[in-house]
Amino acid sequence: MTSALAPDVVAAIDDLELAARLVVEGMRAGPHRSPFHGFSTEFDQHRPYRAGDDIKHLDWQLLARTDRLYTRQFRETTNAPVMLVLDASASMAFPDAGLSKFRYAQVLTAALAYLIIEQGDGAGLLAMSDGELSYVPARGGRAHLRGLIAQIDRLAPAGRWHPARVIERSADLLRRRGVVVVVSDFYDDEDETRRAMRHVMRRGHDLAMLQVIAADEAEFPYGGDTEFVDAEFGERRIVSAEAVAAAYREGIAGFLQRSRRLAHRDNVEFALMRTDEPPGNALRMYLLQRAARHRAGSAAPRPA
Amino acid sequence: MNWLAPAAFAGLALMTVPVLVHLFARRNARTVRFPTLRFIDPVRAVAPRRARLTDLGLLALRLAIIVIAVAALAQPQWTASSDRGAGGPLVRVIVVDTSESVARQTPAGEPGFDVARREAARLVAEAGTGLIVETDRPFAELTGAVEWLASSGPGRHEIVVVSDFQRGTLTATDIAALPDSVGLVTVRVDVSGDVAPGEFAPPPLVVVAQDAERSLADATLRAATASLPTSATASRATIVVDFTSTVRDPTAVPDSPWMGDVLWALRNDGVDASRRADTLVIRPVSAPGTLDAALLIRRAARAASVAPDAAERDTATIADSVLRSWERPAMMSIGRSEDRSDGRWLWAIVLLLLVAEHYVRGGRTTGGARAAGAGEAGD
Repeated sequence: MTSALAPDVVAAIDDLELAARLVVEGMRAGPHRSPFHGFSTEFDQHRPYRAGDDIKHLDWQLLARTDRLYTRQFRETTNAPVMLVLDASASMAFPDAGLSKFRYAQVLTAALAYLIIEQGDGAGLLAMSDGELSYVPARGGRAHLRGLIAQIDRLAPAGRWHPARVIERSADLLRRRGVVVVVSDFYDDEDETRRAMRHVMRRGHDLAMLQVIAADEAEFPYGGDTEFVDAEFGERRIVSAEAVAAAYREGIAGFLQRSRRLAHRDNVEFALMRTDEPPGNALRMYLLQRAARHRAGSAAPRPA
Repeated sequence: MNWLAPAAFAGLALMTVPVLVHLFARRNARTVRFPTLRFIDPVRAVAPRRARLTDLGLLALRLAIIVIAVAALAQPQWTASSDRGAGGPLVRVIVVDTSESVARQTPAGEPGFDVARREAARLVAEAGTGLIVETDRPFAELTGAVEWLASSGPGRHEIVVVSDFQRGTLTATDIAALPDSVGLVTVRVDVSGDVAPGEFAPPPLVVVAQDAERSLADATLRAATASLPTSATASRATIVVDFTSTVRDPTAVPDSPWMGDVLWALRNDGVDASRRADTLVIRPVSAPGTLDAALLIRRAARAASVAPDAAERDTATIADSVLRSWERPAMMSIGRSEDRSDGRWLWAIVLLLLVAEHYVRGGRTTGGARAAGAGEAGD
């Protein structure tokens, strides 16, 4: 039984808290492997294998080296703060009709907040809309969760996004080592974004990029003479859509590949999320990937 | 090709409408708020204010609809290849005068009748449509000729009178009664000489009788033809009065008009008749030597005789100047009430083009809407 909420159903739910809860509970149900190993978990230590231990935690490499069975133990990092950084610029308002990228991002962010706080970690929010920052400190507790989701819900996409200001600031706002999760389309100066992310990692935080994109952005299903208006800069361009479609698709595909490649190179967690996919599925895949990274048990070298 | 309503061509000015619509169609280009233009090639952008014709195929279709509809409103008429000159086909009635005066000879020695008939044949061949009417009273046939022309449809209508134009053949009153749209041409047959004055030329009569009745038959013939004038002019007829045959043959068909004249004159005598070439054989009921037989022979002789009307002996003719004043050119005539425009075929083409335009335009609209719907519904 699939329990993932379809995007159009998500779009129809006005209550963001409800939508977030449904997404998370949808992730819990079903036959899939649980992605919940704690949102922020670290490999702690080995201990000798005892009968009944889950064999998936056996360290096979250590067995090969030592001929002894050891089980990995993970330390749930309690109260590890997570700063959710939400892009509320005008480019996230696409498309005008149906489920926009921003609404999708809101649901993702709220679901993450729900998940994080329920697991005992602290979650906060930093967003920029029309040049203004909105900040909620990273804390736990159900009351804080409600306030956090309410703040996410109050945001409206407008203006431009300044990655240097927002992402770097988020790292500064986390008082201790935590996780910064950036939810954005990343249609910004790529160098500026990379510099901001490196700033985050130099501060010792984990970093995750959740890139949100709409189906029409990737597929460009337009025809005839069309006037495209840049949502953030207002620039207008009239083209014959058929004439520019091929080059556009090539450009956007290259951009997405570049984003993924640069993230991996800098050891930044990355997930591409399309708005025509159920948000629960997208989030599940991301969390599984994150859990898999942590089960590898190695602290990746951080970029200088 | 002929156009019955050429003023309709002013409607071609409507061609500017679709041209302007297609020229400025860009003003209705769909607007999409897009996250970023960085992947939309600016080199391929079109200047928003530069007008250019869009969708040339659909524009050509719409222009064709207007042109063909205007042509249909102008009421075209396809004309036959035998038409002469502008204004439509030539329709002629040739009235050939066959009165006795035309029987005289031309200076070339030809009988006037032959010249007249040859001229009539030529005039009919010239026209797209023609009719030859032979009459010894041309003026009496003009009304019928006008009626026939009116029923022949649109075209240039003309009456041609071929005659020696003896005084009285036509009068100004006859000409005035013709419609203005009907042309008149006169062709004079130049004949000369006197018309035989009241000549009575009894035909050769032969009686056939049994030997025993031979003398009686001859006596009857002499009695019948007594005091009938004689003439050196050869008769057209030969009549055989056969007192011998008892074969009744009531179905004889006159081969010549004179034979019919004879049988008509003898209609109350209960005779049988048959013909052999130019010979009419009469079988009377009455016996030779009787008064009835003699009177029968006399009536047959007179009926077969050529007796020209006294008026035909008048050699005065209508002057050429008068004939020229009566002549007038044939005018374009619509014909009697029927709409003979061939525009209905053009309207059929317009209808087909309208259907095609609907499907072509609908295909373009659906394609654009499908692209737009995919963009809006995919979220």
